[in-house]
Amino acid sequence: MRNIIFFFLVLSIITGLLIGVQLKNSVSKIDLSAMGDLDILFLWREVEKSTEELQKENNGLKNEIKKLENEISFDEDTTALLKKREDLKTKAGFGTMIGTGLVVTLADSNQKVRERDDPYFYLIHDSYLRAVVNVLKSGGARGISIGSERLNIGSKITCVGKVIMVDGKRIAPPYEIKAIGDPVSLANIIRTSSFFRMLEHYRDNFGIQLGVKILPLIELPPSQESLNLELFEVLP
Amino acid sequence: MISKPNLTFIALCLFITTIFTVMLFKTRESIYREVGPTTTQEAVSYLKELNIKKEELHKEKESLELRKRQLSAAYVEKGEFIDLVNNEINKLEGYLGYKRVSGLGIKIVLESPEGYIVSVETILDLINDLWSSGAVAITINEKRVTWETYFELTEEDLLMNEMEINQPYLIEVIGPEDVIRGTMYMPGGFVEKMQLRGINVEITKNVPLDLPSRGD
Repeated sequence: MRNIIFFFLVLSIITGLLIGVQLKNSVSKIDLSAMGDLDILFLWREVEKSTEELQKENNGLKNEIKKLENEISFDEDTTALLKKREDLKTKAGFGTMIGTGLVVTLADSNQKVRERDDPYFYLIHDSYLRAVVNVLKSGGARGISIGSERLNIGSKITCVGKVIMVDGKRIAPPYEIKAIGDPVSLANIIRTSSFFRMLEHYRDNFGIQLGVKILPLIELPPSQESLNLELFEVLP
Repeated sequence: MISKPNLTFIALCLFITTIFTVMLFKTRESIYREVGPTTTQEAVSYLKELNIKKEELHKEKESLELRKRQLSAAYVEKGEFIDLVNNEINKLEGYLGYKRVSGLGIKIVLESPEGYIVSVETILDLINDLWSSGAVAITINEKRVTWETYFELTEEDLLMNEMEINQPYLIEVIGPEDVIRGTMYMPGGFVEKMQLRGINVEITKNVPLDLPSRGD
């Protein structure tokens, strides 16, 4: 009988220990509100909201300017000049672009991280997005967007903690990278790219999600970034 | 007193214990990606980025309002308007790399004493940092970085648009020098990362630059 009581005691201790460790793990995630840093959280939301409003105001101004310019362009020469400017802006990423191309979709792994593995391999990082863009450009992509953000020549893909940002705007997974260009060339370059082979390896071994799909029609919005044409002079 | 143990109960206990053991030793917590900052440090960094963006948008708003006022004036000189658009086209061609550009900026020289080839990731990282600190034109070994620019690494060389670029890598950048320099030298920034890999980074600022077009 004593043996049975001893057995139950040991079993209770072990079970309790294991449950305790599990619970400890689940509450170890840092939560801003739980930390009492509500001020910074509110400030961040406030600044983000006012930035979005400012962006909308600027978009409205751009539309008004376009309208006024169209009213002024009274002859064919002026209209052709405005078209030339719009084409250049589109090439730089600041005008809507429509065409065929493909979409690459990347997302974090849904799998649990194995004890021996580095969690790094289960996540999509900002450097992956930069590398995908580089590969797509090598395949002749004329325009690219990540999520809702159109890339321009000077676009930056960064991260703050685990949050990936494109031109200062947060992008949520799954990351959809749309590229306009010859779909065959783009698909070929993806097939032969060593970077994509590495992603496939991560997909097979760590479960990151990777998809490539050719699309007959893609519409890329203009970049929301400010076009900075200051700080340099054009030489003849 | 404890009655004779029920075998089913013992089995159940063992079963639960086994599950927890497996969970603990075979897995860690599942990955959960936040779409907003989760720590104070992250929130501060994000806030900093947002404030830079907000400042840029304010500047853009000012110039857009000025443009609107000019266009809304009762009488717009046709010649004046065409000059304005032509000037913008000229600037856009410079920005896209179709034309040579000049301005003040910085020079960065990267060199590995052991002849280590800089990876594509490092170059993309550097260019990303330069754009994010306000660069308006960049060249690497006198070749202009444009929308069409891409990099590849072969066994022996780093290629830029399929052309070999060799050490020392000379990166010339037109843009706000102090901001660019500050970004390069920030803790955990590009210079620190390169030093950890044994790559020398030399930065010279306040340099008058004349950068070639993409065809040069």
